[in-house]
Amino acid sequence: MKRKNLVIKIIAITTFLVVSLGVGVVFGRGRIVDEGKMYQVASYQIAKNLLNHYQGSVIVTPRTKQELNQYVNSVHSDLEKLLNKNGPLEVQVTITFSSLLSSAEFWSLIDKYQIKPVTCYVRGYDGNGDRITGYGDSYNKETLDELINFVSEDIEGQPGIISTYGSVVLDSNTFKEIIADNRIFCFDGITELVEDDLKDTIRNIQFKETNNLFWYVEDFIL
Amino acid sequence: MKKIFIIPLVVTIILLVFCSYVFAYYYSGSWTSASGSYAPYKGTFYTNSSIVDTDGAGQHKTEIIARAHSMYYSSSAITAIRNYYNNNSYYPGIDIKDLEDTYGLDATYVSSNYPNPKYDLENNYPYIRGRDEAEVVSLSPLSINTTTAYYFQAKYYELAGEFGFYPGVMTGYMEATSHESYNQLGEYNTAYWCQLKKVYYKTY
Repeated sequence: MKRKNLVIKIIAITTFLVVSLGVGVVFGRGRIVDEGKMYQVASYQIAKNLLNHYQGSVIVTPRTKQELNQYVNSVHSDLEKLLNKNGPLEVQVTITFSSLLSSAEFWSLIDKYQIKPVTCYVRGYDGNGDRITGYGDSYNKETLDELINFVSEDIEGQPGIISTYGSVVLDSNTFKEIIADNRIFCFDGITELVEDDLKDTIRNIQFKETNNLFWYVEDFIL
Repeated sequence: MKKIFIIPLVVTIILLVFCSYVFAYYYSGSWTSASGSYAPYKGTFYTNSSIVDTDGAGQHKTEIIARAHSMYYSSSAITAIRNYYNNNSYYPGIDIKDLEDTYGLDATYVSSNYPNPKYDLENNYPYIRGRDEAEVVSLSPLSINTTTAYYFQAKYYELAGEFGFYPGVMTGYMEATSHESYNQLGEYNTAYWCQLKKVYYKTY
């Protein structure tokens, strides 16, 4: 078994090196082509690899309640403008909830807006009252249940779902309903706004998951 | 006279065989000093394997929990973490990595008690299936303190091969590292890192 694995590894590494040298690209990394801020607290980076694929990311780190609220309002109103301008869109989104949702509450919200979840963050509290955070695959009931089980051993009581990352097809009417839904604190489609902002120079950017804002909700709002 | 020895011996052997099969493979190691100024100076790292499923050929699907726990930071480590954050915008974190990465072990879930964690499950070598690395970065490093016993754990699943069968028994090492990283493209690129502990693992 061991020797076979070694052979597989050598073949795999050789293939990888040949492919890498041939194409001249290292997977997943690239040259930064644009970098900046959208609003006060969101920084973004875009890179291009030698296969001409763009990759991007946005990180949101508010320091005060005011910065947090300003950010959420800006993203929501700009996303609404974008939808009014461009019509229905498939949006990549990180949704931060207003409070801990149970599994049943989560799936009813997902079903209502036809969201396709990929991952979730869940929260619980240990015996000292410290915050425990779990994360992982949550694309259906089984995978989310597994995540909840995994986190449960370290917490007292039941964990709740605090955010999800996934995609959803949006028109402006659905969007109005979503941002009026008091279970949702932030529908963070900022990557769509960055992409729209840069569309004259850069198109088809593959964005990574934007971070959720629940820690700030707990610190500044709850 | 002989029976007195043989019976307990047989029972012991049966029990041992039974135990190693029914109960998990568990390997653990501790550290009491770390080379990085920002690293938890003590802690324990273990791997714990168990069977989740068995395929038609009688091969088992294994899950492995790799957990670094009881990690404590000294006050000088807290100072180092604060300075890196304030001066360089570096964020502290912990990494768990399958060093073999030929077996298709897939890091699927993570959890920790780090403040404001941002997690990443990464496949560093796309020519081999499975996410070999699990990472946590704390986006609120100023909240890390000397009194909390920190932990970070990842759950790996063994992936089935081409024809739906699981590989047989495999062994390797999992490594836990501590790092200071800067954000680039949503991934945290390591500025400094040090090994905390490396432990053995075994699948069914």
